[in-house]
Amino acid sequence: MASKLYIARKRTLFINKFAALLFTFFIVSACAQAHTADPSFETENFKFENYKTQEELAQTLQRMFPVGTDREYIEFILIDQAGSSKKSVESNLDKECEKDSCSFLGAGKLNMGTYTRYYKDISLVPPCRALVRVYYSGDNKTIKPVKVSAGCNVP
Amino acid sequence: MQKLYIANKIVNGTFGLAKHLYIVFDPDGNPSSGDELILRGGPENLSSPLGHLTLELGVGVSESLDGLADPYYEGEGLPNANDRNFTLLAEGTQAEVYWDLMISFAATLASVAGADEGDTVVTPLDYDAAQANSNSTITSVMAAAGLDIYSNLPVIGGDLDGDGIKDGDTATERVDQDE
Repeated sequence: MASKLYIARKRTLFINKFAALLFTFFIVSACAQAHTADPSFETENFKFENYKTQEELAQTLQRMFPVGTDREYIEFILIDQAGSSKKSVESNLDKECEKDSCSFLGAGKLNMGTYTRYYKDISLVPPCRALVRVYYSGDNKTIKPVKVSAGCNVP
Repeated sequence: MQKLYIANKIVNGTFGLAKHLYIVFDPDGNPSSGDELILRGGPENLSSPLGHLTLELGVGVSESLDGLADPYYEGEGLPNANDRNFTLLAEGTQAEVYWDLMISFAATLASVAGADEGDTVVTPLDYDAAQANSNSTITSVMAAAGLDIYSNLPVIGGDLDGDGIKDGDTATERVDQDE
């Protein structure tokens, strides 16, 4: 009789442990999902909507697309996969920015170079959008770190 | 000569009823040369909840969310000063004095040690589209510089010369001639 009770208790303990393990598994899975915002995640899983702030988004995209990345790959990720739109912007000036941020040249001239702009609406209410500016060389490789900005059109 | 402007842009989806204010400091007095610095407030996050009020403490116009980095701006080159209703607040040394006071005050709102011109900082204040927003930020920094927001709201169409009348409007000149 005592041994039956012992076995029943062992079974209950086992079931409780199993339930606890299962619970832990779900928590870990949920955390793993949340960690898609982590820069180390697979590039092919990139979604603008997974990023809460401009800083997180910028860090991730700059890691994903280092200098020298092909246009084809960037557009596969940003357009085909993440659903952003594209617009090429031709500067009215003939030089590229030499520093990280564009420099003031004087006499009303801002040296912005030529870049391609990709944008995606992250949220419609409130309206929030991400913008990625990419500078390509003639052979369609990035020549400087991508510039990322994101913000909401709110008062 | 340095110039200080108040500017604004329309908030999408409000049919022009809601606007976003910001301040522009222009070291060379040419508001489209690219050396302009922007002081603005806005939300921290990219979806609800919008997080804390975040400030640009004089960020360069090519990197500011009210400049070339504005994700909703689709033009080429910088946003046009008249389209953004640039309205002169002060020029010369006075512009610099006001600007320094505004930046210093905004830096204290940030509660971030060492926050200075050029930084983007997150304040401890919760962003609220109806209360702690970009417009309350500009109202506060202007008050800190001794400027009343209601006497200095942007002139629609821009007022780069600060005569209180939209640029290109000859009303002032006509009145002067009549006199």
